[in-house]
Amino acid sequence: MLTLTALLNTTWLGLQGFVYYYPLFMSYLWMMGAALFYWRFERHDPPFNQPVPLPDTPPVSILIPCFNEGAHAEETLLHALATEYPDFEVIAINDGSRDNTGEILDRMAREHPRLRVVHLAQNQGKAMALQAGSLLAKHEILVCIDGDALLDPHCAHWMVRHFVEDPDVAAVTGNPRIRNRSTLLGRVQVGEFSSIVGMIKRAQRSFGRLFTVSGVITAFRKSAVHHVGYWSPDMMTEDIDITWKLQRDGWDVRFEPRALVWILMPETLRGLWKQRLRWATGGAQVLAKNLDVVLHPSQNHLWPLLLELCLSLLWSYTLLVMVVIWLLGMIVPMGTVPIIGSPLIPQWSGVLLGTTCLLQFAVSKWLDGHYDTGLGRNYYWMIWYPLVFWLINIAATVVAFPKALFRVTGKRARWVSPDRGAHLRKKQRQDEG
Amino acid sequence: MANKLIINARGDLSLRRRLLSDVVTAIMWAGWILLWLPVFFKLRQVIALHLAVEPATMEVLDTLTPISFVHSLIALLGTCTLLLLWTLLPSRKLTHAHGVQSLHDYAEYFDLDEPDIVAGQASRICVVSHDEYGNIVGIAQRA
Repeated sequence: MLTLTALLNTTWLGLQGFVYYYPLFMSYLWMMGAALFYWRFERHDPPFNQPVPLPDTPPVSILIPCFNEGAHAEETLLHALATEYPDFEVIAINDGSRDNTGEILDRMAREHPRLRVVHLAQNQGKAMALQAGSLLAKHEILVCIDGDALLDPHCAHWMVRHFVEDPDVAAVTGNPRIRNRSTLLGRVQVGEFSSIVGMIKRAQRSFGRLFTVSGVITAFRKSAVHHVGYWSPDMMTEDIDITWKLQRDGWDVRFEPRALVWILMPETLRGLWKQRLRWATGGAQVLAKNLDVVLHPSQNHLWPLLLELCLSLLWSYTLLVMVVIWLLGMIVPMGTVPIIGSPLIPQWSGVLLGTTCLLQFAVSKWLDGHYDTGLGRNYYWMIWYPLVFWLINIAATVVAFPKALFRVTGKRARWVSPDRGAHLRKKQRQDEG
Repeated sequence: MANKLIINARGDLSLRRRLLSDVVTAIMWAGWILLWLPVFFKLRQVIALHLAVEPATMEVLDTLTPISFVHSLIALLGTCTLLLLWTLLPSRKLTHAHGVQSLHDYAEYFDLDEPDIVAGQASRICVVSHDEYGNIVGIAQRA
């Protein structure tokens, strides 16, 4: 009995330690990995707007799937057409849009010789739109961006470099930078995209493989995508899924921080929640689909990624349990549940965690400041991240896992039209008025 | 170019909304600094009592982590080293040859006629039709 009590006590203390110290440990691990990436891959290269000459410049096809993108299509296509690369075509895929996207694309195709338009007779979802675009693309390298993303003129050049260097490279993901910085949410996400997204990609690349490419900007080798059966139409996040499919097949997937694309992000809590829930559900779907990699020693290159994913999920649920126990402790008689401090209100370990988070922002400002000069101005808003913002991500993870498990297999994932910032809502109001 | 692409429509938000986010953020920073007060008090004690800084620093550092500071550092560096060594393990390599797929491969995979694909690739505007299972069943040129 005494042994059992001691075991339970040790487990309880271990779980408390895990909740407090796992994110702390991971944060320093990411910072070290990102610094290593910079030292190995970034420091010697010229500025992103002066790309190194390539020994070979194979032609590329820029694929832009669009669904109800009437407000953005023209701007997106004009930026894609302004790409500084010797030989390229732009293919806009209109996935059965219900607005005026189709007319805009057709008009632009008549005006711009490099632009081609593929209309899908019925709405099929992003994965299927990319598949159709890929089939009709003339070239072997496909640069895929979203219908509201603005491509930097040198982006294709930086990405192609990897395909030329190594025939094992199947995909190269770029560095998305956020355009809309009007509200608190927008500004916090600017920091988040550097300190969390960019830093994790750098660290994962240093220590092995990428968990995911960014669906908003990734270049693919067409034959590699064909080999793994294209993008899965039933996955909520087709980008995470294709990354795992390619890496499981033995292909290499890389991150290129100089390949910039400018994107719009949600600026309302509702829009943010929907987006994070979709990301988390997609991540959980991919976890469930790829758990079997632990049974295959040849897939050992993916084990650290899988371990990190499982630990993150376990951490989210353990934190939830701690919060429930803390709340119960306030209402049930003393001694019924263990007494713990609030996992949400910062105490000493929380202060340390917050400091680490702010330090992570500072490091990422230094890393991504080479490509996005206004990053430092957002630091004032970053205090929200360790205190509030990450709770949204944890809540999304907790909700997403059962959602992914109980999702009907084979059910087609459809487009989600996200909130794209305060400036557009004002424009819509003006249009309506 | 980057500066032209950044959208800062903060001026379009209501004054109330702007003030609210500015003030609440400032309060959060103030709260954050207040959380550090116990550390500042300890530091003041160390200075006032003329204690040796080094052991006091080590004591504070050791309270930061569940194991000692040195052990935490070893764990972190050890994990980095282990992950780097892990990348050297033999793992799955591409078993199939590199190289571009032929038109025949695509036609076979999609169960389409080669001339249809060629026509689609040559067209400026085309329409792709799918069946209810998501298979491509037709490519029609429009321009």
